[in-house]
Amino acid sequence: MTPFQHILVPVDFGDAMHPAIDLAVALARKFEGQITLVYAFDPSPFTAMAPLAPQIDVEPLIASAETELKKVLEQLRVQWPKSDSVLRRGLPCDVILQAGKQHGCDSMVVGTHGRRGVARFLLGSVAEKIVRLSPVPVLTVHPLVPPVPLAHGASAA
Amino acid sequence: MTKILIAVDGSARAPGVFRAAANLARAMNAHAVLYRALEASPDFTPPGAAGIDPLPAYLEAKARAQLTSLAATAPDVHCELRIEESLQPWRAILAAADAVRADMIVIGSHGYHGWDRILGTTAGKVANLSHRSVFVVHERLPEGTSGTAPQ
Repeated sequence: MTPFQHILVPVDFGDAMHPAIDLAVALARKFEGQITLVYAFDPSPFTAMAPLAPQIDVEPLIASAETELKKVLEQLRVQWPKSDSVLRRGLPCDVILQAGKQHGCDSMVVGTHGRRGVARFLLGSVAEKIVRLSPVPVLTVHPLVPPVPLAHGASAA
Repeated sequence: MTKILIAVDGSARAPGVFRAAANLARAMNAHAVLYRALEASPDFTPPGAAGIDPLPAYLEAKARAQLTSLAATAPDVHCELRIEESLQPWRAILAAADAVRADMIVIGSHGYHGWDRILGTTAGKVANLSHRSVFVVHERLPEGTSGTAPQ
């Protein structure tokens, strides 16, 4: 089966997501696919200190993320109408892999931050974990790479 | 012309990886470089013996036959074949992508189990360290085949 019939694109509202979305749109056009954006809201930074620090109400933060995700989806639908989005709570890697499975996605296009060396070691990389654990093909898009041109015309499938 | 480096090994997953890569190459109207890094073992090829040891030539001929056979399954995709010996295939793949100025690397992954969690995988290292876009194909093995990658 040709991938890119249903592409999952994790978003974090940072710069890295834009090249990934652009490439996903080009692939969806080429393969007449569908795009699902997924945003993972990780509540752990706000709850980890719960016994020591006052509780932080995460609901307004989630509402804000939902608004932001809706904006990204609206912009995406202008380019490719066959798109939807989902917001879930949890660790980003877990949320992304679960969303891919639940939505029946056959591929992922993931923006990377291009961190190297110590920064990558300390911060880890959601993209790297997805590459290792995903059951479907993953296309990582480096932030400094110019967009990959796709041929016009009939589907390559 | 867009160029993609398709890195395969000698395992039963290689045809599936190449099939996915060929589809992408068609979509990108790209020139493909079908690449195989031969994991050279110093145990088999002692220094100075390369000229008389038939093993490297045998392995290269076998790899070339495999790549030729893969390329023949997608005659509409322009494929250049490239084979190199390396002790560390992930380094060789990154170097080859630089050498051919690839826009993208396509590589197969066998998953992430056991020692891979500590040592990492070739695909993981390539995706992690490349400054290019990398398409990692998680190809399942055909039934009844082995996951090992013979030279």
